[in-house]
Amino acid sequence: MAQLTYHQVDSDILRAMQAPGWRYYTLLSIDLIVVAWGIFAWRYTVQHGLGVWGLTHPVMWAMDITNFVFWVGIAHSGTLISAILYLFRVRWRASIYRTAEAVTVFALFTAGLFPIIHLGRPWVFHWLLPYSQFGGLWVNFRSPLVWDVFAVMTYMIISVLFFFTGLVPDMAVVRNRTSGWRQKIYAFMAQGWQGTDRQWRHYKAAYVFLAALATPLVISVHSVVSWDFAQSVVAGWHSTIFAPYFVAGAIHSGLAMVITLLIPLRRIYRLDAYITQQHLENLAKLIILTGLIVGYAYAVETYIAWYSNNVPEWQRFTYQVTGEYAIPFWIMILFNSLVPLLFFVKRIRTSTPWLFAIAILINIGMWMERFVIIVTGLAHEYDPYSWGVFIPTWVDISITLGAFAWFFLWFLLFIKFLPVISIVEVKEELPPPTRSQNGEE
Amino acid sequence: MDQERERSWTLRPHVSRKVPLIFGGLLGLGTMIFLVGLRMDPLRSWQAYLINFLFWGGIAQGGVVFGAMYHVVGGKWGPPIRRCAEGMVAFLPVNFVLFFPLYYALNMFYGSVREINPVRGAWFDPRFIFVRGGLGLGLMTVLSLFFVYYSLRPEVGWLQEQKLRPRHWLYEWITDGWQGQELEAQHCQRGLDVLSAGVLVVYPITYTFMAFDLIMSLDPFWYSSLFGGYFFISTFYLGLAGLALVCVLIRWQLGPSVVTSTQLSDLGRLLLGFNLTYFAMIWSQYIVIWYGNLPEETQFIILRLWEMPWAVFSWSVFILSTFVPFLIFLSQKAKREPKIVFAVSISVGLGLWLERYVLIVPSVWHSEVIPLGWIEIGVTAGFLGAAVLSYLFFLKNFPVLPFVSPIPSSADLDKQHAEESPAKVRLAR
Amino acid sequence: MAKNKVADSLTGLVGTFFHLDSLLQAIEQLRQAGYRDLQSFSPVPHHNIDATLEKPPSPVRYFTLAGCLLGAATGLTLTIATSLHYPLITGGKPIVSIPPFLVIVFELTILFGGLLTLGGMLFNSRLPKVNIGPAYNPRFSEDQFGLWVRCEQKDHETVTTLLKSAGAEEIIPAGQGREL
Repeated sequence: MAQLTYHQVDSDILRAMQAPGWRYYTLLSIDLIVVAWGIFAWRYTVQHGLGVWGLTHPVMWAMDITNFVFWVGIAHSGTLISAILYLFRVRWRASIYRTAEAVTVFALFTAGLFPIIHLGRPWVFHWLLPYSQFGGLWVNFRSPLVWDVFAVMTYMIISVLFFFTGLVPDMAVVRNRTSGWRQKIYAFMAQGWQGTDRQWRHYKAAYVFLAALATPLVISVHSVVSWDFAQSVVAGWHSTIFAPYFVAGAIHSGLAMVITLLIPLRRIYRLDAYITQQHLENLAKLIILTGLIVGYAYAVETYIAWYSNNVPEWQRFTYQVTGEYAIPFWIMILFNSLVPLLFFVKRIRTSTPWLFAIAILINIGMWMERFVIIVTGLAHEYDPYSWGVFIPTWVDISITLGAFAWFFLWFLLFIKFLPVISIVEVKEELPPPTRSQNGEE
Repeated sequence: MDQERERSWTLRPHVSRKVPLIFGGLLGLGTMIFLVGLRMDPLRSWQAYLINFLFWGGIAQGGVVFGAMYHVVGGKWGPPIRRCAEGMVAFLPVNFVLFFPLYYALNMFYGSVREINPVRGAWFDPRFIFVRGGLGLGLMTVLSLFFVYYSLRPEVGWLQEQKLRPRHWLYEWITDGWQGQELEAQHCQRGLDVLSAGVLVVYPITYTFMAFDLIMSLDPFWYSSLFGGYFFISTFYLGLAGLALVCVLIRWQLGPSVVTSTQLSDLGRLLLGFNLTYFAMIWSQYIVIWYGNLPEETQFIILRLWEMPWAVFSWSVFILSTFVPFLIFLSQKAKREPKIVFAVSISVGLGLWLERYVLIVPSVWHSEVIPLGWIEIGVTAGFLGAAVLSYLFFLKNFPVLPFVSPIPSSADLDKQHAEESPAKVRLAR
Repeated sequence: MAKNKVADSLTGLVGTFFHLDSLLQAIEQLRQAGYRDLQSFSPVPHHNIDATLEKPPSPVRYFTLAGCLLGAATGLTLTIATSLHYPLITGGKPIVSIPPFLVIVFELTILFGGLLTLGGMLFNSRLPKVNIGPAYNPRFSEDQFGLWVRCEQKDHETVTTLLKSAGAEEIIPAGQGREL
């Protein structure tokens, strides 16, 4: 990266925002079709009721909440990379944090759909919001579901704020290069940015404080989501380790999603100079860490299930291993904690095909983990008479696929409308042009 | 460069002869008090022993884990800090030896576990607990020693080559099979890579089991899946506090060019971060237990948080180890000020000692009298003596400034003073 | 300040620099010559620019603190007051149950802290700005640096010489429109 000039950085990164070709439009069309199918499936649900899903006694929460937790989890790695790594002054985050943050924002847009989708009467979703009804009755602030509302809303607002704050200087660059109605929009987003020392000073201060606020926020959000389950007394759910376990799992899946998106992005738009093999390798090393934490959590949960002498908890554990959901369970163990260990081998973590494949496996594994925890917990609770099984219907699966397509839709639009790499931060990482340098301009 | 290296060996804190004598005296006194206490009230003595064993061993292990972490992330911001952290390894073999006397306390502490929960069977036989604990601790000690060995070997090797100091059995052992500077540098770097990862992977596992076996099973009915995680985070936080304290002392001895204000401030930030992490571990357990309201879980918390006399201890733990350090370290200036960092480290250390106390004692102590008196102070003093003596041994024989760091020259001193007051920076050439 | 603010603020010169060290040198020289009202433009922030200009640290931190305190207070008030207003026992928990309320308090602390931080940044930088001042050159966001010096018409010669000696490529007279 040392040979790059500021001018070249602008050109390289803005190149991705040029008018798209037929391949992009094809991908976009397919994506829109799947989104439309997902919307159709949801409309079908609203028309005919939640019964068209596989939900039934005792499993009254299944793929809906799995998808919610999965997408909120995906959102976490973006904030890790942009906020936490920023506070630790980790230099290599500069060229990937914009994409990671975009993943966060879009994953939250996707996750935010599910609290509405999974309501029996979605037209009264506003009852979740804190306001006074019926002569002074507010929402139940003691409930983990209300904590969820606050946590996810706060996270969404702060992430969007953080995203757009970081974009302001870049928007100035784009504004200067576009014309017509496009320029007006970018000029608005740039907020009149000129790069004066005063603006930079306050910008940098705000950025540090937003990063410092976002760090405990991101830990708290997935802790709150995990408490949706841990605060209950369902066997296998009521476990104190859920909060850090879910947070580590969230970062795990998020990093995998970021790798999954970065690899094609870098290849198609020829951004190898910015998203280097070292960046991908560093992400792989972080995945080793989160994979080990997730593996640790699996082991401890097993140990405590045995140690606790708690019969329902132990039977639920054996049900996971040998029952109807044994295959998703073993996929979860294999893909989440064992497969990432392959990254200890340097040859594997520096090979793009391996990185991509393992990242996909991790995402499948993490989706399965949420599914297994939720469904097996509910399927085999305390009373054997009320044990039951959940079988997904076409509606469940369509909505799940539609959500993936919705997320991807936002990402496709992002590539074309915003710079996928932070121009300003990349320039900051380069040595500034000084008189002693040659061959510049 | 050779001159610089020579200076790194000579630039060491001056420790007067009185200091080892004082701490040696404390060690002797502590041992005596412990033995006398064994006659008078064995439970009380063993309790104090266990608390201190976990506390001082924790500081040492936490410090070494920091060193391993620093290496794994490829840190460059504080080489002297890393060496101070590595120095704590000197206490680990001592701590390992101190584990063995606990054999005599096992039945007193864990004898009831197997009776109450026969399902768990042989796993909770006190002797098996002892073997597990010993193996885990032994493994961690060995890994930590080898980690620091690879860090010290190139420097001691250079020293032997230059024949700057008389031959010493320790130096001989460390440079056994010396193959020359270049080959050794590569070899040791590889060793550091492997062992730092090893330390970081084995530490959570070992300390989780120590927490489950030695602390959690004292109350045979209570369990919390996060307890192991909570304990190793708490131990790491403790290690960081100990490290900060040592770094401030080194700075007072050797000057602000060796341990700069920026480095202190970075350590302060780490302390703040792990303060929050530590609190999150406590909170995650508390809120789940509070909400579920299951008596088998809540009794543990209620006994410690809301019943006298243990409530006083618990709230002191929160105030000393979490709230006060948090409020103080929010300020950027506070983190740069050695006196404040020193005070906060002491506060955290005290808080975490009380934490170990309040985790262990209410489970086993059932009489009216609060067990906090000369036995506890004596045993603590003994362990303190042992820990400080080990550390002094390390400081006497190894340099505080690793080779990787440039030994500060007068130009560097100027630069560092400029860093302390950025408004007065001069233009770069 | 002179009475005629508009006319005053129109007097200034903008120098364009290709190199960072030229910019820094210019700042030093101008400050030594007594011209303290300076404004730099750069495509990236650099701590040397701030250090040489010797401006005080940003007050955004106070906005953040105020936001956090406001959020905490709002959270506590909201949860406690509404529970007392319509007391309903749920899950056997006390009417005013502090542990769950603390989760809400924490989230609102972060939310308000973040919102006010952004507000603080916009307020202090006087953003959003509809009219970008005439001193701004789009190259300043690309790869060049700029320095605006407030000076009277009569001083233009001196300042021009100083800027050129530091290595300015181009010097244009320009005001800033509104006081920055």
